[in-house]
Amino acid sequence: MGIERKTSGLIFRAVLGCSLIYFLLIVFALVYYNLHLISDDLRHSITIQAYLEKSVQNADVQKIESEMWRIPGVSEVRFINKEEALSVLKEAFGEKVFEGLKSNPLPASFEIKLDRNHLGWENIHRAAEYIKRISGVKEVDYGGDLLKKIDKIVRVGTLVGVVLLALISLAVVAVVINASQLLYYKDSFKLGIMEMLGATDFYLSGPLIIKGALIGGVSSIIAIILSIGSFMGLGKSISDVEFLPPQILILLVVWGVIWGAFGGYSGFRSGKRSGFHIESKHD
Amino acid sequence: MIKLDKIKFSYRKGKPLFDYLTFEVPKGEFTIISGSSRSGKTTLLNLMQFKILPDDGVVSVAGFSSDNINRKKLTSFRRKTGFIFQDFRLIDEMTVFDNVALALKVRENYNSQQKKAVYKVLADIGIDYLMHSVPAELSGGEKQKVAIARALVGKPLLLMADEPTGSLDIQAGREIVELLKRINIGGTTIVLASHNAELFADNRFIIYNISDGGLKRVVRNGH
Repeated sequence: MGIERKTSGLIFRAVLGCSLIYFLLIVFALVYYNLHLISDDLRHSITIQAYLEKSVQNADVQKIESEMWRIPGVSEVRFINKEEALSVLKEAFGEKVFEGLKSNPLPASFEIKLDRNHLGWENIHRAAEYIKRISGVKEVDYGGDLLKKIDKIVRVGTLVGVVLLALISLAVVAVVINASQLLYYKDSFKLGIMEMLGATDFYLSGPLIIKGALIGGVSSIIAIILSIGSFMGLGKSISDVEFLPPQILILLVVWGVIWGAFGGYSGFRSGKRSGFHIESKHD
Repeated sequence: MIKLDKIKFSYRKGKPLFDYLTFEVPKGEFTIISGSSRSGKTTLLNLMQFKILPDDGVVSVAGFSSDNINRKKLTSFRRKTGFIFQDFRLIDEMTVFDNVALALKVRENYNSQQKKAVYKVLADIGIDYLMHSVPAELSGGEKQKVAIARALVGKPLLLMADEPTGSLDIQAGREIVELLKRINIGGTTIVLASHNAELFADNRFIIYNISDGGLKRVVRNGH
């Protein structure tokens, strides 16, 4: 009874430790995921505006357009003539603002969009630089600085995420190894007898691998429930924040089970190395 | 069945416990290794069980050799050999039946046929009435009989026993010796370490005395 209570206490503490670690991982994943969503939104809204020289004739417009389609990743090229540009402005600021104008000062332009796979800063920057060199193009605008900053934030976030994931996996494995070792020592007499009777390592380590997998799996589920509860509890104050999609949550549980099982097996190995043998003391 | 060929073994640097020891146990024999405390009886049994390996020389037991023993072979060896200890090494929270059945369960293909084998060995040894008891409810002699049943249930070629009567009273010790004798008559080779050679007065037993790292056969009057 006493030993059973000690075992359940040990497993409970391991689950608690791993749950807190996973909770921290989920909080970070939530921040990173939303940062990614924001950056994706921004990237999708980004277009390259190529303003043309006033001297460009209609025949040249065709040439410029076909030149633009040669850029890798271009998904849309739309010509905006001077009149359309002015009407867009009028729509935005009202007719009155433009009443005194004798002629249309706005240049004709092209609006260029890249496909999903080419929305990074480097691709857009490269495309913009190419467009700048096309004869007849006077100026190119694409919000490059903003895009560069977003890309940098996402890259740093990814790097931090990878490091954090590695550290958290290590922490989970360490907690599970520790718990498995203690479970192993508790059962070392029994395991020693089984080994003496011809049990394989696979047979002996099975229960610890299962316990490790359960600790990892249950901890991740608890952390998910805890984070969903906290997310719902915060309610309106974070209404713009999106929760992690189910696929990522399932992945987290699978991750927990795999690392937990690995921890269980490692606990068995290190427990065995430090010796559970029930050596005879008499001679 | 067992051959120790020019065995050299020491726990630490310095004087070896065994210095080129050669020793053989033929199949079907009941060999007693007797000697005082710390003479090396258990070390010799540990060498025969491949728990420890010699510094030099070769230990060959039941077709397995210290030259090429590995984890997989060791498991296979343990399934072909039975071990009995002074402290019984029974699992307290298991019944007598489960303690004996454990020897077959760890082989991962426990079935109804093997369950019958457990009943049979308990009946053969005469402890089937104890099958639902737990070790705490048994006397020392009964515990050792359970340990013997567990060692025998897998039908081993060889039984090794380390001081099996060491923690029993004289009467229980004699009962265990008689039981082991019966098992040996059935064809199982037995090697037993004991500090108490008096229990093995019968001519059936081949007794060796271990001292100063050497084994000397004890020759009895009329034998």
